[in-house]
Amino acid sequence: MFKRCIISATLIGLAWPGAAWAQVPFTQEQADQGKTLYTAQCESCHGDALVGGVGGGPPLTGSYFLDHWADQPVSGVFGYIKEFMPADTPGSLTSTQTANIIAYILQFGGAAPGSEPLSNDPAVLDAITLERPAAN
Amino acid sequence: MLNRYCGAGLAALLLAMPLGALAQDAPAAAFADFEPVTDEMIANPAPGDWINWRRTLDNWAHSPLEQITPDNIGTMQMAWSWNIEPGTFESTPLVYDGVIYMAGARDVIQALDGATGELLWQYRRELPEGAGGGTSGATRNIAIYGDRIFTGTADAHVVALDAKTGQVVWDVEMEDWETTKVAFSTGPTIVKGKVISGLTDCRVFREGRTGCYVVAHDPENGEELWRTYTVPIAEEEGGDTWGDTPDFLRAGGGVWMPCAYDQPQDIILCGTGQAYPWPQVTRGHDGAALHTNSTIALDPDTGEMLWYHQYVPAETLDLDEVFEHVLIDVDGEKRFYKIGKGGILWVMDRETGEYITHKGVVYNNVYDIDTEKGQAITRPEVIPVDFETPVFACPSTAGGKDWHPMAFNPNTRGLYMPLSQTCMNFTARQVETVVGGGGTGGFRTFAPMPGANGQGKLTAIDVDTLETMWEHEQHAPFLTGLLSTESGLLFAGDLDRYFKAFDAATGEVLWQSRLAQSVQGMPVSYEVDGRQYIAVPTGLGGGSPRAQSALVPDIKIPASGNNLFVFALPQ
Repeated sequence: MFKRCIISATLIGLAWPGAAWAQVPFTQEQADQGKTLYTAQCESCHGDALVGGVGGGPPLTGSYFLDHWADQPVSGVFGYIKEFMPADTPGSLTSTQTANIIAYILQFGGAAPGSEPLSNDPAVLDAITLERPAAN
Repeated sequence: MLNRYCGAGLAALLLAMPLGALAQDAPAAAFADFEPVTDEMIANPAPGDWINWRRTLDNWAHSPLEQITPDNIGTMQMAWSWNIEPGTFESTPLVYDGVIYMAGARDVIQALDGATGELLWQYRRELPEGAGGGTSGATRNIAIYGDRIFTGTADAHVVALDAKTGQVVWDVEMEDWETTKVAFSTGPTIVKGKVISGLTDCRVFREGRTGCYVVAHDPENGEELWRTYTVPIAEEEGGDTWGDTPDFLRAGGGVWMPCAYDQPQDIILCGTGQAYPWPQVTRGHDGAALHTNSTIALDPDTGEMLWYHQYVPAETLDLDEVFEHVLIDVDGEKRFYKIGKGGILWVMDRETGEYITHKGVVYNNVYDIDTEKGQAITRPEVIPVDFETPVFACPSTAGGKDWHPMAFNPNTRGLYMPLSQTCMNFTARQVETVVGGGGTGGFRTFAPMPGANGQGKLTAIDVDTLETMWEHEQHAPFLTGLLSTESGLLFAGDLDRYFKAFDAATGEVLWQSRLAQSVQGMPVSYEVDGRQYIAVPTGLGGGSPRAQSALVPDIKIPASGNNLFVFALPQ
């Protein structure tokens, strides 16, 4: 039998450093719109804390997300979301909606918004790298 | 035996509330000769009717209608179609005396003329924000009894509507959705004049106790007659199978598919789902976690648990065993057949609840079967032991088999099953062990299944020998329950928008039609004025069975659209 363990959630998003990481431009307005979209379309699988929900979708924050999508162009995660998500209605998001959702994911992970919006053009996103937070 | 829990503090009885029902003031002409539905009718429906989830109490989904045959189905054409509002659509059209009663998405209930497709009435529900959204909000079946329609809602109410007008007769709240997030994703079963409903989504920890239950209501006034919890608290029978977990952290045991009624034996058979959180390591113990992943047999008058059989003790990968019981007699033995997510066909004695035998129907790397106890034991190498290391498990949470129900043809003796072939990488997660916390405690990504020739598989098994009669594998997964007809047809629909008719004896595809949306839900057959119809829902939404789109990137479906398509021979 396992020893009974005290289990508690770690809010991984709050553990990240601030503005410097990600190096991906996006605006607060994009993140706000992204949050609205996320709640309606993504939350049931990925959870309200982006670490998994009822539908058992993988985390969109923390080390799992970074292992999959960091150190490569943003067009990678953009293309995946746009083509395959939501899992039960893939291809239903517009390019603008996809960019907004990514903005929300980045802000949730601790990145700070700025004045320059995140492009919804994969060709532009090819040239922007999603960076890992710098080790302190 | 479980103590009955009187939920007097939880149920609010609302009589005749006009919850925005867009109904006509007077019943339409279609209801002029409406005769109340009785227990006898449900046990013995008219050939042209479909007044129960799987048509008859034995859950065969076998229509006695023979007008459409393998020889003439090539001429079958669309009679009419109807569009349904957006949302998760996994429904069963019920048909009584020429009228279709069906739940759309988000608790809309509609009555349609079965011959013309004319809308007769509709009920719409104002749901709390967030209820019934995302992948939730399905109502896989509804019930008809007397002159009423009964349903369970996305915000955990049981509702009775006037079958002739759609007006609310009574509306009972089981739990407060805002704080508990519990729901019904499946409507009730009528048992001896009682409305029997199964609660699901019991994953948010609550004060007191968190687990799900089966509940019985009086169809007349919505009075609660009994409830039976599927997850025992510490002092109840089976309560010692949850380690030393406090009562309020014992979650899950959802009854998210309709219960069966074995009328001759007078027992209710309900399937129970998995424990929450899913993994042992998140739950903090490896106890059996009764009565999750079980069949529980209940007394219809009292709800008393007469016996139970747990298929997977200490289940840890969201491979729940909650699905339909198909009642078939073989060699004079009263049996039921059942398949869970894990893809094990269980052959059980329905008089004793004891295991007879089993047959694996998809590739499985998760279980060793204990044939003495009749249980699936999870192999140590696929049990997550931390919150980082994924395990590779087959089948995935899409199954094996998911909610899409089987059909049985008594002429071919074939048990037909819609199966899925994917694997998963499953990782356990932590949850907050406080009131308001909780959750699945796991996530998975999908992967192809070794040796599979496609995600979709239809398998026909001879119930007398358990030999495979035929198998049909294809690229697109099947997303419907199966429909069998007396003329030897078997109907199924898939993700790629194909609705197909198979020869029940050989598996040959006799007919297909490409519809407007992925084909999903429970197709049925009915008759109006001497004409046989095949009705099939198409639509979107749902959890695991739809979540493998990345594995079939070539299958493109439209981003919206739920519909009902109705076919018939030309007149």
